Amino acid sequence: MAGSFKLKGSLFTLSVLQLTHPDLDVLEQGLKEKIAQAPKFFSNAPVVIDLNFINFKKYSLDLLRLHQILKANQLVPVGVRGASTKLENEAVKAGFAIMSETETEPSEIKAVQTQTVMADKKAKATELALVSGPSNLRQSPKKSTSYRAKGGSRLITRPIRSGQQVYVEGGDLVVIAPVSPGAELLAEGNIHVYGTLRGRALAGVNGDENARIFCHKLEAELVSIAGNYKLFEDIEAHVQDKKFKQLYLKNGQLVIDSL
Amino acid sequence: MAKIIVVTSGKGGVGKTTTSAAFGTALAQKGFKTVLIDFDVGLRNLDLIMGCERRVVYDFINVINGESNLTQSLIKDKRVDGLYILPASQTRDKDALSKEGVEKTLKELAKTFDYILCDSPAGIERGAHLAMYYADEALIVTNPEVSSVRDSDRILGVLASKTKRAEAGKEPVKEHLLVTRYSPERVEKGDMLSIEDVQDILSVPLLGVIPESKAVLKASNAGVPVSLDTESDAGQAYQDAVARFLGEDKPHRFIQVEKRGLFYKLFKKRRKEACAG
Repeated sequence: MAGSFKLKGSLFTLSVLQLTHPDLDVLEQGLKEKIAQAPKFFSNAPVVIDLNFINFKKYSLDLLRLHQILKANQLVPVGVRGASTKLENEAVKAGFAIMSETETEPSEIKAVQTQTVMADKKAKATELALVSGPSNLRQSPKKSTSYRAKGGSRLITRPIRSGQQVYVEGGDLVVIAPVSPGAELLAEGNIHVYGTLRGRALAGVNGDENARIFCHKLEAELVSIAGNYKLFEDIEAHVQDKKFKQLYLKNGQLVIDSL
Repeated sequence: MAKIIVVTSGKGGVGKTTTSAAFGTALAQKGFKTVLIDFDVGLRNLDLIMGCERRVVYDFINVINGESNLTQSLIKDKRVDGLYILPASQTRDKDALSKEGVEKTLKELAKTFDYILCDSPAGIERGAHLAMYYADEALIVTNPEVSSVRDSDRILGVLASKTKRAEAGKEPVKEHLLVTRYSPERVEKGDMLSIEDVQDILSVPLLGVIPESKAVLKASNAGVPVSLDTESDAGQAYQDAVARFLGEDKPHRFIQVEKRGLFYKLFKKRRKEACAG
């Protein structure tokens, strides 16, 4: 029953070549000069072409020739991104894969930008198996533990145990399970716990004062929004009445309301 | 193909070895070829609880190091057919355990056994990690007491992330909760956590409740697995747990406060007075 291969997902860092001028002769010359500066860096380097900066209303691009130029210069063209739907067919014919857009702004390293491109990944799950973010995907999509929605939000349906930490970059965290004491939830956005929260929840960890925490049963050790925190003893009164709670910042103070 | 079950808890002294011995023995009694492996290198206890400490020639580390084979090292239980023990080393330390060595041993055992029970040491370090790494199912032994529950929760987190099944993205290790040293009287008084409290915090299916029982100490010191003491409450509770594990629908016993009749109360008082006089 064993096949000859297994399909797995993995995470790779690829260089992105942002095309700013549609003239391929200019590109060819520019590439040669760049590569001469650091030939080892570019030798057999897999590369993704970013077409977002070409005004395709005014210009057209011979993608097949682009592919050939890249190969002639020892680069390995992997794919394109920023191609319109019309252009995608051409790109595929020329031998490019269509790469997805990412949410975060890549940081510039001279003229070459390095970008983490995401594919499905079969995780080497660790204690921090639930840590997420575009550069940190460790969960397998097959696992029902969490699901990645657009905008970087995460949904977790299995209990979060003591000692585990969940960090959601650029989005909300939704948990439909109990959160044990000793567990930590951190999100740059909002945190929703449709269960009992007994651990720590820190929302708006990047300083977003509009972040909120929603909680079905609040028994948290610590709650915080954008650094303004309260411990269990400060929220005990709210724990007693067992109602659905909303926590938010009002004039810089952490406020707890029943929903 | 054998099922590998890890008996773990996080907290020490809650009844892992007692459970491994009792549960494994009851499984063997039901006709399943069972082997119990002691993973507590340097602090071995399983051989004592099983009453075979004087028959240990070779141990688990010897097998891993290739100094002996399984046939030489496995100790056959004299009371129950199909029950074997692989003791831990007492003189070495846990660094002698290797992942590859453990895997190799388990693979070999899996060829001939139905169940392999791995008696984990306490903690979350190497010994505990290796005991659970290759597990298919887990018995989480918990006392109805706050630190035990907290540690069990921690262990559940490790089971969900640091086992071979978790790392390979396969079906997760099947979790079973076994509450030990339960005293319904103390729960009623409010001194002890109830089953519901424990389940609320851990959210793991309940396999069994073993009552606090004098039979456990007695069995331990005699080197007899408590499930062989069929008259005791603990022994019966373990038998029930195994039956449930194998799919039978058994109601939980020993979880209600026993209602004593008037006569019992009268005689109890009389006896007390007689003893005092």
